[in-house]
Amino acid sequence: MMEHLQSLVDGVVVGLETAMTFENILVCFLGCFLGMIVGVLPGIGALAAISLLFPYTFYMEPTSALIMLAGIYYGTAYGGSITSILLNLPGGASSAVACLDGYPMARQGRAGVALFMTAIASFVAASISIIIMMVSSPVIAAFAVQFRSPEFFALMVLGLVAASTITDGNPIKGLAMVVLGILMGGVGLDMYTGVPRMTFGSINLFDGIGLTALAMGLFGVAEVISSIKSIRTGEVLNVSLRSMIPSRDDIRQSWRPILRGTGVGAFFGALPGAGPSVASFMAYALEKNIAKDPSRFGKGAIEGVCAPEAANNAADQTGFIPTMALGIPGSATMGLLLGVLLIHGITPGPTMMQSHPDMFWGLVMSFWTGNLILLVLSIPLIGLWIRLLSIPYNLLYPAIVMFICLGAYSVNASIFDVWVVLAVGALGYLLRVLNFPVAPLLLGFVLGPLMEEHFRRAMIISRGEPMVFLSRPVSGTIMVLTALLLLWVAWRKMSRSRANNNAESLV
Amino acid sequence: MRINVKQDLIGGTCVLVVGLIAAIHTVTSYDIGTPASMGPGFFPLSLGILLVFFGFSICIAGWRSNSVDVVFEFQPFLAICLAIAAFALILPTFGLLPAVCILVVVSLMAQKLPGILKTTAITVSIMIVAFLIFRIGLNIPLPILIWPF
Repeated sequence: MMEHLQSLVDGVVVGLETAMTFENILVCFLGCFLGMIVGVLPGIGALAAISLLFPYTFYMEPTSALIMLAGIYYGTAYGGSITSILLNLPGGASSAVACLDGYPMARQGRAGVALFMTAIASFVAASISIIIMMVSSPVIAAFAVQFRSPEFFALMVLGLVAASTITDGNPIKGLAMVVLGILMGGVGLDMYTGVPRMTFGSINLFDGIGLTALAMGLFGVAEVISSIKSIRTGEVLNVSLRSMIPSRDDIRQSWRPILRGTGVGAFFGALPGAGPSVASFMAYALEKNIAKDPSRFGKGAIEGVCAPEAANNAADQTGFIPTMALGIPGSATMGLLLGVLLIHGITPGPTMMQSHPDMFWGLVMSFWTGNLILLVLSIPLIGLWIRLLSIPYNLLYPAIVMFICLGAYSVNASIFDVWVVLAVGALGYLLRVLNFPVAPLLLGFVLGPLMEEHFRRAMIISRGEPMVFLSRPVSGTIMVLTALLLLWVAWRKMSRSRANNNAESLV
Repeated sequence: MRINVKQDLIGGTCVLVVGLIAAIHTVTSYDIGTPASMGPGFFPLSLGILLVFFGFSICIAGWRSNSVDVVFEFQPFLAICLAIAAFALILPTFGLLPAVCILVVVSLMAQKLPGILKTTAITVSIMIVAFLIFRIGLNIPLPILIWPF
């Protein structure tokens, strides 16, 4: 116990040293600022933004790159609620719930209070979650240091299955996307034999499909194509600073939902597969279910805005725990951040905290700086975002396409990468049209090569004995959990389709 | 373009076909090996087979479900794809600024073109931003303008 406390203090010291350099504070600010912009603007989410900025981070130190991208990530949670409240348009998936009660509050002239309380809720939730992360990650990592290839493979399978099946819709489509992603990740030279796989004779593909090009195509290009005809920004009401001050009643009604939302968010954020969006929905459902007067929800109940926003920020922070401590990304965005580290030559996981403590703790401490910056950006500077929302989308998207193309080119000074973006973008749009979830594809792509390496190594060591995954206690438990998860998902899907059939037969 | 089809039937077939192609290509081109000593083809082959199963299952789900409206936005799709293609073709020959210019103009054709004044304004401002960020800010060695004649 004492060594944990001691190493925590050590970690905090190292982290503060790393996070408080001028460069890192600057990139943290930049990341948070960009995150707010991206969060506020409908049509681009954190995933697209991180994909777009990915190539520019190559010019930075890996810790700084991580701090900036992380800032974008949790910054979008702060910004997204602004659009939801003012325009009834979600700025991002995790902020969609805030529309339900936030927009009615705006119509009632209480937009300022809604905006203020969401910012406070987000900050409180993030702070608590950061503490959770600081305390639990070293413990988890210490446990996981004993993991070997079978455990890592099993964990990755669980993570991928969870991430692709928990969403709505046919879970098999999610699984198919993961497998497709793994296949695409396998393009290139085989690691053990050097044989070029699925390169179709192109030398450019020997290193595989670039992660940047894939992410930009899948989330940038495909997103732009689907958004052009549908996104409307424009008329926004103005909000004065005075109107933001909440009444005593507002505070009294909000502080418990904020804490509950934090708890829900912290839990779901750490689970691979769940994330800020799931967390925000669950927090809203919880508040509505335990409220004394549920009919207030949907009409401007402040709990309906605070709790989900607390949940999504909490989930954003705890989402780093599996990625950093175990090397298992819980969502596509985390997968992308994992990819950043891999490209810089660092393998996140239990060993990272020992070999690169400055990176881990620097990142964690930067969360504090980031959330403080975001609090300032969200409250006093709210006018900035309101003005931003008045730019029509149809002027904005060509700039986005420009960033995508130049960014993709700049990674390797290669035109081939731009063609890859085009091909993947077209594929991504087709997948969206056919209602396939695209995020699992990215996850499979990032984790695929790692999974294959662990799989082959496990098989080599066990001399071709596939039972090695079940005979070792930890990996066996994980595989059983995966099987249970699959069963639960299948049961849920069958009971849902039975409910649909019953509903249809009643009509 | 809006058509009313059994969406998952199409999707499932695509997945099935991709899986088949992957599996067949892997079996014929790469050494599969045994579980104890895996060749480069083992993992991709297993994945291809998985995809065939998944695709089949999605097809069945699609066949049993109702038709839905599937919307495919042709104009944005073509415009953006052509814009990126034009960019890729123009950049090596003519340099950064012409490539960005044509990228923006073709992208704007995804919807009703704003007036000539607005179009020029948007194009020029994006060209300036591109120049500032990529040439000045990031110092990428990219020719701004080449005159090949």
